[in-house]
Amino acid sequence: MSVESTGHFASASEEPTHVNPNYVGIAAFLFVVTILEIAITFQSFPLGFMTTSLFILMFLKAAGVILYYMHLRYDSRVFTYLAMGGATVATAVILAVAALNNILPGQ
Amino acid sequence: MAAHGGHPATSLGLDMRKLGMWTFIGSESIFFGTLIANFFRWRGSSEGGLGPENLDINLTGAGAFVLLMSSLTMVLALAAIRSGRMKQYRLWIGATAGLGLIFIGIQTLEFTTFALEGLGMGSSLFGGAFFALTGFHGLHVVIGVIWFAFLLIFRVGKDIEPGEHVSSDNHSFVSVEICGLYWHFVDLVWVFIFTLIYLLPAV
Repeated sequence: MSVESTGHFASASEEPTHVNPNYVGIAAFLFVVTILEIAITFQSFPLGFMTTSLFILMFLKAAGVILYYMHLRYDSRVFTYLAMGGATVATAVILAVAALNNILPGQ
Repeated sequence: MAAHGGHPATSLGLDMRKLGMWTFIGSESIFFGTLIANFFRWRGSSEGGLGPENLDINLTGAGAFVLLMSSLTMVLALAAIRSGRMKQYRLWIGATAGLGLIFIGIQTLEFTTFALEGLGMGSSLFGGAFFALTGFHGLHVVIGVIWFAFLLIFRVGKDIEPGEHVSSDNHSFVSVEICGLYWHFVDLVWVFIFTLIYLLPAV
């Protein structure tokens, strides 16, 4: 299947520049990362290593989806600010609740 | 300026519907962030019943794969409509909806199993926080599937001739694109839920 014609753009007013993300390759990457996540969970590595690894893999997957599937890498910076603004507040809420209740993920 | 098939562009030259969807996604991030924080607060309050250690990683791992694959079929649908491959576009949208239904089936199975074992919204604070988070995510999946059905039923893209390469501000293309943005966001939320709610308590 060809996805070569899928162009992306820097703004809505510009014509496609035909950057060609390899969608199937990205899906394979996300698939492998998910397998790694599950595999790590069933190992007996030190807790710190496992927690850190899971966080890194989670953010790798999120970056893959946001940058290439949601096309944020190619789209207007305004959309990036909107998405990051929401994500920043969400992260702050989670960290605040964790700090207030002396809870950390993985504990 | 009506640059988008009747939808005026913003002063930034951006499509208003895309701008609206990204604003919605930003606000939804805060919504789900709050639900995740709520889960962290109450996950230790299982009150002798089922707790985080009873969550089924294998089942929800399958759900994670299904959603990731649905994101792939969604971008393939977008690629197809962009290059006027309308038959493939409808096929990929149908596949995405089908994968969404499979995910809902997996979640229904998980919820039913928990309910039979006595875990419900009101059985413990853990149960309330868990079902609020995963239930709202499931509701978003249902809304996405309904949206796909609308795309197919109302034949969005019928104005595009087969083989026609449409521009990025084509009305039908943007309609599918914002639906795709919503769907990828639903997938993205599950990326976080799967790690933070299912995997981390298991390590």
